[in-house]
Parts: sequence; structure tokens; C-alpha cells
Amino acid sequence: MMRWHRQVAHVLAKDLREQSRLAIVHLALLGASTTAVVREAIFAPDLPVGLPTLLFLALQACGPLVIAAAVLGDRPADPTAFWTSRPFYPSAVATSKLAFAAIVIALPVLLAQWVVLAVYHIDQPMAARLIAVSIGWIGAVIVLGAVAASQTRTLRTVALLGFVAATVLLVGTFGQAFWGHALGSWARPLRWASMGALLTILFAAYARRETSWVSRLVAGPFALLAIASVWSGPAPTTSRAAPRDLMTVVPMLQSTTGAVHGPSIPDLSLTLAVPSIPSAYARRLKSARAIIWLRDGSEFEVPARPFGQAELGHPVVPADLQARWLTPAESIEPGRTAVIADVDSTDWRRMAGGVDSITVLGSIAVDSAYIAARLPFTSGASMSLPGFRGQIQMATHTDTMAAATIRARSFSGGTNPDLRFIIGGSRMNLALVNRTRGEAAALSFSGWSGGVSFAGTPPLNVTTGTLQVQCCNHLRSDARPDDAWLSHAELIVYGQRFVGSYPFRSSASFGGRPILPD
Amino acid sequence: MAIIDVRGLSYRYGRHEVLRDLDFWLPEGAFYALLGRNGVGKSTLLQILMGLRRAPRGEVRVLDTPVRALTIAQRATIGYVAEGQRLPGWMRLEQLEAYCAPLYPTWDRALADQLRDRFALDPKRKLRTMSRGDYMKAALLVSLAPRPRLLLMDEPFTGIDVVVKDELVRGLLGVAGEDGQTVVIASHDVGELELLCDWVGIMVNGAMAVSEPLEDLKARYADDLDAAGEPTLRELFARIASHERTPFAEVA
Repeated sequence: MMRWHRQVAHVLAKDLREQSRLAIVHLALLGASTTAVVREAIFAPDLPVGLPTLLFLALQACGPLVIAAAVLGDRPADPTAFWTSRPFYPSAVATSKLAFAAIVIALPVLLAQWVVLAVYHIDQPMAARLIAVSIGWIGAVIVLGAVAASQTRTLRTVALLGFVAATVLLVGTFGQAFWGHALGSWARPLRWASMGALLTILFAAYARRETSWVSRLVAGPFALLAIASVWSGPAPTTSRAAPRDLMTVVPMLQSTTGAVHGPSIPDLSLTLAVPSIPSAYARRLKSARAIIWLRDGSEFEVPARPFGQAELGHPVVPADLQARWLTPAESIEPGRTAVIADVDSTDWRRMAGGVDSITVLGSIAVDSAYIAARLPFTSGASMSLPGFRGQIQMATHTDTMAAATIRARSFSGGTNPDLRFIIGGSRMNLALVNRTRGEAAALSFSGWSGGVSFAGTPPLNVTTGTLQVQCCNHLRSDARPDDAWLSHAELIVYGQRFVGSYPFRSSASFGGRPILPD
Repeated sequence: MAIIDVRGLSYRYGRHEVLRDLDFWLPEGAFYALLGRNGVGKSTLLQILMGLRRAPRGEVRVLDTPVRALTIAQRATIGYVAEGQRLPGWMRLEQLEAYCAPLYPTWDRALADQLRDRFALDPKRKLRTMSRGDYMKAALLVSLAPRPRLLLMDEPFTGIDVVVKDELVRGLLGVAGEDGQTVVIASHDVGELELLCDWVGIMVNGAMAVSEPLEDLKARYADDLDAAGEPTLRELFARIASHERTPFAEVA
């Protein structure tokens, strides 16, 4: 008699031939999806919008159908099925189906996953974590497809069930957080328990050679539980492991329109720039909080906001700074930036001291071929650029007009490859300070004042006199000769995959006497 | 020795009871015609004998073993051709033979070749492109080639023309006659079965109305039917099956 393991191989060989066309379609979709992601990583091309998504969806639909077709080729509950009339070990037939899925679906997908992760230089722990998530997801796809096929008669019925499951998943897009919180730490054990239960149902169907309403009744809730627990994703973590190679999150000081009335400074906005995330991978910002360190030594925090829920407005510490997260839970397109937070300030003196650095902590939901995970990120930007020295020169032209010039004395991009293409711009904040009264009387803001471009390859060094920008400001009507202008300026540096803001502080007064030391 | 022994078997589809307290047995080497009107439970009975359905009540023994306890080795000695048998249609006949052969230690390659020649089947032809008749011949080929001790066939002649039927019958007679196999055929083709069978079972109302050697049955009904000669199986079947509402005792 043919031994059990030989029967597994025997049926597996038959299935590989029988389902070769579907398997080729699946592999082609996987190849196309992987190629799109890799091309995006290497060449950053503008792929047609939705192509990676379409490939992703097609792949998600194809996987369960492939395994379902294999199971329906030897249906467990069909008296007319060929295998039931032959001396097969039922468990060998069931095992061969899982082996088929492992060879045709799981291994190629994991291989593609590994290639993509390697292309993105994902560090090993993060890659292992993503692969583990993938294994869980693929396992769910395989088991759900196999069990659905074992309890039904045709591929069409399986496709219908798949459509229902996909709808549940889509609805779960905004229910994901709910499932994550509802299941909590039980998500993982429940996932494996439900998978185990579904596998038991599959093997039982083969062993009994028949299905019953009881098995269908039991399979339904377990399938939903498996979907919910897989979809809920890994529990959010506060790990500081930063997948920097996957994404570069750069908070950026960004001015909005300047206030010309009243003592205020421009709003502070945090801009999330994720230039290196392929669209097939990153999807949604899930949560973020920011810690802003000011140059006067104090700090305040823009509290965490879970995106997708009601927008929160938090007073921050100290209470005179108000922060507001802006972006709803929307897709983060690769190569673009999104303003995610806005900090209003009425305490211009605090901000006038300058922002030293900003750290943003949060997580991004990552959906990809068989990946649904949350990646925590911790990213920050120091608001100073090593090697940069700037100086502001000021002069009054009339009683009501002042002009300022930024003169870059030296600038070094070092060997940072991200700085291989740079466009420089600047903007300037001008504050009117009445030193006599010891208080701030007014603030004016110039807005964008022009830009000068640099281009080069690393190491890049720009030296004296290469950046010169002028701006003019109308003096306030209540300006007095003894008023002084305190100027802050910043240099905006863009790279191909890089955005940075480097304010520097220099001061000048009408009389040419600095009122604050550099 | 009884190769099949069924006691008190009942089976229902939902609320509809198909088999009711069914008893019958079959000696080894018998060629058994299982007759009954449509929906009387013949296919269900064969599926239970194959272990494809689990009967909630009754005892079913095949090869002197409870059917659910049959080992793979024992199953390899049972052949089964289902009504509407599904073969892997994407395979060529030669591929089907190659797929089945390793499963049976008793697979007779020479017999397979012989049957293929006798049935005039093209080994290169894909099963799904075959006619209904050739399809059933292929199913019969892979069921006979292992030389099973017990062959269960459910409506093998349905939808097949007379010429093919004749070929199938001759093929069956040739192989089964040589080996002393036990063959159970459920069919409506009483005329064909009369050529083949030496035992007959007639199901009425989900129970076995008669199950005995054909000769005994004919002898028992010879006077009753007022036939000129020996009653035919068709006449016996028509007489017994028409008493659907009549308890077996009264029919007998």
C-alpha cells in the first residue's frame, strides 16, 4: 500500500498539474505586484494611480481561489468525488491541499516579501516582524479559502463568500481599531485558536467525507473570528524601533500666512513627509504625537491622537500653546507630504526663542501584499544644521520700511546622500521688541522671500556669500526709533528624498547693535 | 461468508426517511442486482456501504468489518462507480491510470490494457472530451483494473446507448466471472441485469422487500405470476415494486 506521506506527494503532484494555470496567474500577479513595489523603490517612478492597489486586490482575491480550486478538485463531501472512491487517507488528501497552498501561495509570497524588504533595507528585527505578520496573514488566507471550499460546492460560492469576507474587511477599515481594542492582547491567541479550529473542521470534513450543518455553523463564527483577529493587526506598540529605511518621517516647521495684526507668530505645523514609502506598503497614519523642544529649554507635547476618530484639540504644556491634529485618517501618498498638526501660539515670545528639535512618535498602518501591520515610528528633526552659519544684516530705508538680508556664511551638507539635490529657500520672522519697556510690542512676518537653488552631489559645501535673500517689511505705524528688530530666519532645504528646515538665529537692530547674542 | 451484512439500517435526509430498518446480506462471489424505484434509497445504500455517508442507526459490515473501521488496505479491495461519477476531467486516460495504479497493490496493468482495447478507449484522450459512454467505460476500467473483491456500481448504464451497454456488460462479465468478484449493481436496466446477476434485491419503501438468489425468487413467483414460462426479472420487479405501500410480508 502507498504510505501516507507518499499519498501526500502523489496528490500534491496531481494538484500542481491540475491547478497549474491558476497557480501561474497567481505567480504572475505576485510578480507584477512585487515588480511595481521594487521599481517604485529603486526608480521612484510615477506609477499610474491605483495600479499597485489593483494588483494588491487581485492578489488577495487570487490566493484564496487557488487553494479553493485545489480543495474543490478533491471535495471532501461529495459522494461522486473521485478520491472518495479510492483508497486515500483522508488526512493525506487534506495535508496535500495545505502543502499545495504552501508551495504555490505561501512560499512565493514570502519570497517576494523578502525581496521587497531587502530592497528597502529593512533591518532584520523589523523584517522578521513583517514576515511573521505575513505568515499569519497568508495562513489565514489559506485556511479560510480551504475551509470555505470544503463547506461549499463550487468556486462561485467560494468567490461569493470571499466577497462577503472582503466587505467585512473593508468595513473593518474603520473598525480595525475597534477590533484591535476589543480583542486586545487576546488577538494573537484567538487568531491561532480560530485557525486551529478551522483546520480541525477541514480535516474532519475529509475524515467524515461529508459536511453537516453543524460543521458549517461552527465554521462560520470561527472564520469571522479569524478575520477579525487577523485584521485587528498586531497590538500597537510604543517601541522606538524606527524603520528608518522604510520611511523617513520629517517634521517640518512650516509657516502659514503671516499675521500682520496683533502680536502673533506664524503657526507651527508639523508636516509628515514619507517620501520613501511605496504606495503598496504604507496606507494610513494611525496615530501620532509630537514633542517639541524649544530653545529656551522648555518642551511641550502635542498629545497623541488616534486618527480616524474625532479630532481632538488639546491644551498643551505649557497651556498657552494650543495644538490641533489636522489630518484625518487618509492615505499617505508616497513622495508627498501631509500637514498633520498645527500649533497655534499666542505666546510669541516662547516661540521667538526658536524650536530646537521636534520628535514625532506614532504609527503608520501598513497594508501590502499579505501585510497588514502597524509600524511604529519615532522620528525627529533637529532644527540646526551642522556647519551652517548665517547672518542677518538689516537696514532701514525709510521710516516705515526695513530691509533684511540673509547671508549664508558657510553651509555644509556633508556626505549625506539625501542632500545630493538641494533647493534652498528662506523665510524670515521679524520681531519688533521694545527694549526700553522690556516687552514685545509687535511682530511682523515676511513670508516667503524667494529662493536660491543649489545643486550638487555629496560632499556638498556651500561657502560664504552664496545665499543672499532680501526682504522688506513695512514698519508698524507705532514703531519708535528706540525699537529694535530681532530677526529669525530659517533655511529650507529639500533633497530628493528629504525635507528639512534649519532655522538659525541672528539679530540686528536699526542701530546695528545686536540685542541678543548669537 | 457474507461480504456485506447490513442490520437495522436507517437513514434520513432531514425529515425524509430514506432507509428504514433495512436488513440484507450478500455472499462473496455473488453478482447482485439492486433494484428499486426512483428515490427508494439505492444510491444512499451504496454510499453507506462505501462509507461516504454515516448512518445514525444500524450496523453495516463490509468485508466482515464495520464500514467506518475499514482500513486503507481493505478499501483498496473495493471498487466503486458512482452515479454521475466524476473523474478528473483534465487528465488523459493514461494519466488517470498512472494516478490510480500506485494506490492499489493489486493493480493489473495487463488487465487495464486489455479493458482499454476491449472498450476501444484512446489513452491519449482527455476525459472531459469523452462521450458519456467512453467516460463510464473509463470509470469502469479504473475500477476493474485493481481486481477488487467487491465492486459497487450505481446506475452505470444511465444515458448509455445499447452498444456501449453491451460492451460494459461483457467487460463486467469477463472480469468478474474470472475472478469470482462480488458485484453489486444498482440500476433501472432490468433487462441488462438479468444477464448478469445471480442474486437480486428489490427495495420498496426504503426497506429491502426481497434479497435472495434470482433462481429462488423466480421459483417462488412462478405460479403467482401466471407466466407461460419462468417469470422474467422485469416481471418480478414490476410485481414487487408496485406494492410500495404493502408491507413486505404481504408481498411475499
